[in-house]
This record gives sequence, C-alpha cells and structure tokens, in this order.
Amino acid sequence: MPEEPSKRHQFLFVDDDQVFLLTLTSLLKQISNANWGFRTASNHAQALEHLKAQPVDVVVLDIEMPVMDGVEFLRLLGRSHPNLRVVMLSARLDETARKNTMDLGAALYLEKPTTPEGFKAVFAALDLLVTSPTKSGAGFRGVMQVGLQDVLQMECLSRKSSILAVSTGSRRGQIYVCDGQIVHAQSGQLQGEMALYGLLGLSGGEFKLEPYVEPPSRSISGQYEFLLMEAARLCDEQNGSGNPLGNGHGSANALRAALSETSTPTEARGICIEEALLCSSVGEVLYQWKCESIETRLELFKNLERGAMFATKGTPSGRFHRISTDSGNSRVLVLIQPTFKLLIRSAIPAASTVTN
Amino acid sequence: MNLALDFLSSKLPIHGVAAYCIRSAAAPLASDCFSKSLYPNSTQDMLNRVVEEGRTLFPYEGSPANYCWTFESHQVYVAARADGIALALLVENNAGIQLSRIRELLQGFLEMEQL
Repeated sequence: MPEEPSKRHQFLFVDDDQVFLLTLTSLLKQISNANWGFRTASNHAQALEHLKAQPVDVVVLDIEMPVMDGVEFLRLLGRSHPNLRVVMLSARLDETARKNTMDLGAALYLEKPTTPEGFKAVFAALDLLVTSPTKSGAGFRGVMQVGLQDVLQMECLSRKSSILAVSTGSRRGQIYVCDGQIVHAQSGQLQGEMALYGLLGLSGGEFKLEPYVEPPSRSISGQYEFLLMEAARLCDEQNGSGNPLGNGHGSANALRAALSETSTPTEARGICIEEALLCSSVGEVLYQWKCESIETRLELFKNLERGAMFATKGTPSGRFHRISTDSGNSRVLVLIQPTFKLLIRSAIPAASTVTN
Repeated sequence: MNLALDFLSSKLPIHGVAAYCIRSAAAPLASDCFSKSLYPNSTQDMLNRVVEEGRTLFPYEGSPANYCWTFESHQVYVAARADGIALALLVENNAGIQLSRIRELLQGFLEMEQL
C-alpha cells in the first residue's frame, strides 16, 4: 500500500480481510475528498513495520484477527506507542469487549461497517477523533475542548452506554446514552428533549462521562441524529435570533421554566414575544400569553397536522415535529408533539434576517 | 428560470440536500432528486405539496418568507419569494449537513433580482 505522507491525516488500518481493507480505504478516500492518507496491514507484524517507518494519527484495528487479535495488539500498542490513538472495529458489538478495549486505552469502539451509511458513520467518528485534541495532550474526555454535541455524537456513533454529566455555573444536568441512543436528559426541573436541548445549548462549563446506570425514567426517544440536529438548529436560532423559545418542548411548567431559565430577557436582545399558546394534545389550553383568538390557533394546529400528513403522504418522512416561518420581522414557531402543541409568535429586529 | 438554475448548480451539491424543487404559485418549474433512497416523483410531489401547505397556512402575501418543516427523517426548507416563486430543499437528518451553506443558498435565492 503506497504511503501518502502529504495527506492531512494519516491512518493505519489493520485487518486480515483484504477485501474489506480495500473497500474501506477506497470509500474513506472518496468521502474524505482524498484528504486522508491510508496505509494497511494484514497483521500486527506488518502494522508495527509501518509504525516504525512512519508515524500515523490513528490506528484502526479489527478485533477478530488470527495469531494476535485486535485486543492483544491494542495492549501491545499501549506499551510500545502510548500516545497513539487506536480505534477498534468489530463485526459484532459487545459491551464487555467495548469496556475491555476502552479500559486498554482505545479511543473508540465501532461497529465494522457493511453499508454506505455505516462507512459514513465510521468516517464521521474518525473525523471527529482526528480533529479533537491528541491523546498525549489534554485528552478528549472530560475537558471542554470539544463541543458537548461532538462528545455525544461520538458516544452515539460508537454505540456506548454512558452518562454525560454537565455542569456550568448554577446549572447541572445529565444526558443518558444507552447503546448509542439518547434515552433521557435532565436539567434542574426539566426532563426530556427540553432538558437535552438546554444542556446542548450551553456555551461553556464542564462535563464528564460517567458509567451508565438506568435513569429513573426514559424521557427521550427518536434517532440521535435528529435530536442532535435539532439541538444544533435551536442553538443556532438562539445565537442568531435570540429566541429563547426555540427549545420549547415540554409541559406548561417546562415552558415557564424555559422562560425563567433564560439568562437574558428576550426584549433585551431585540426579540419581542407577541403571542404564546400551549395546549394539550386534545386542545385543552394549558398556557396562553396574549393569544387573541384561541379558536383560530387551535384550528391552525389541526390544519397543520392535517397539511403535514397530506404533504408527506407516500414518503418516508416520519412524524411531523415542527414548523417555523419568518417573514420580515415576524416569526412563528409551532411544535406538534404527541403530548402537547405549542405556538410562539414573535417580532424580530429587522436586522436579523432569519433563514431557519 | 435559467438564472435560478445556474445559481442552484453553482451552489449544489450541498451535503445533506437530497432534493429540490422550484415552483411558481401555480405550477412546478424545476426539480431534481439526488438521493438514491428516495423516489424522485413522490419526493417532488411532496416538496410541491409542502410549499403549497406552507403558503396556505402561513400566507405572507407580497413578502419573501422562509419556512422550515421538521419531520422525523428530514427537514424541508422553503424560501418563498415575493413574486410567488419558491425554492424547496429536502434536507436529510444527519450530523454532517452544511446548514450555513443551505442558509446561504436560500438567502441567495430570495435576493436574486431575476430568475
């Protein structure tokens, strides 16, 4: 395998399956726009030769290999190259193996990809790893040198089970990840998606990964990709428009809590909430603020649900979650959740053009 | 319309954008689907219907407007111009999407003087 020392990141893949190595490197080369350099080895001896000849950023090891398997080789690398980052690949995910390899210093434990999506997921995980601080430096875990979202994404991609404990000033919270899925979050009195989005929206503080224990209840379901994207969007909205109600998931108490937890008054940032309505799934009004015509708004909820269903008929769109619209200095956000519906109408400053 | 298509082709592909459609107030004008996991026809129909539903439910006559519909599997971003022509983008839910480029594209479409 030719060496490509000029490439930005250098990887060494070790696997006895030559076809897999060829597929993996050609696909990753393509996905990385040829920015990554690859070397391959079919056993530990070849891998050590490569490492002796030239250093690499990351070694990716298959666990199931003859003679010296990936775990044994990881142990050896831990002694011979203590600052080297090692990622383990395994055809079958096993919690004990994951724990063993992580204890031995592996940076990631990933499922061996078999589909295009799987290869993309491996690429995303490796990309995050190589752009995070080095193993010899401050370390990836526990230090606020990478975003919470990045850490959470890593945990999910590698299908781990852990608790991400977050603290900043007066705010503390936990995000529970079980087998790579975000299953629960809590922050103060908030639980569920609202707590998750609130925590992921924090701009500073500390976090640490703790061993997983089952939460008192599981308050979050759905794909982690969606949740993280939603969090990114809400965070972006907050930064861009200052709308604190972008993360308005939850009950009436949660809505009030969100309002009271917002550190900066909305008016101070040029946003003026003009109307808010929260009702249950059956249309019972739980909270309203300057809502001139509740009937019209309830009708809007109904039409929106109907319209979303009609529009996506025959497509794999899944459940409708929300719509946000803006025109000029007016903005409307509607959330349709299984247990509640929420509408926020606000006026935004003319200067802050919003493309949601 | 050629200007709009030139503009789009200069901006696409964007990671995460699976399909687009441009439609006037009355009819679809152009569309494309980049994802092999979607049926092009039903995707285009869906985008057209989403544009129409947005206009019906949140009418902003005479003003440009943005709509973002969020579904479990994807988002649909719509930039509706004051002249009634709208661009809809189907964006997949994945961690690597390039939101800033998507926003730039939508804003650019709204700001074009002529299509």
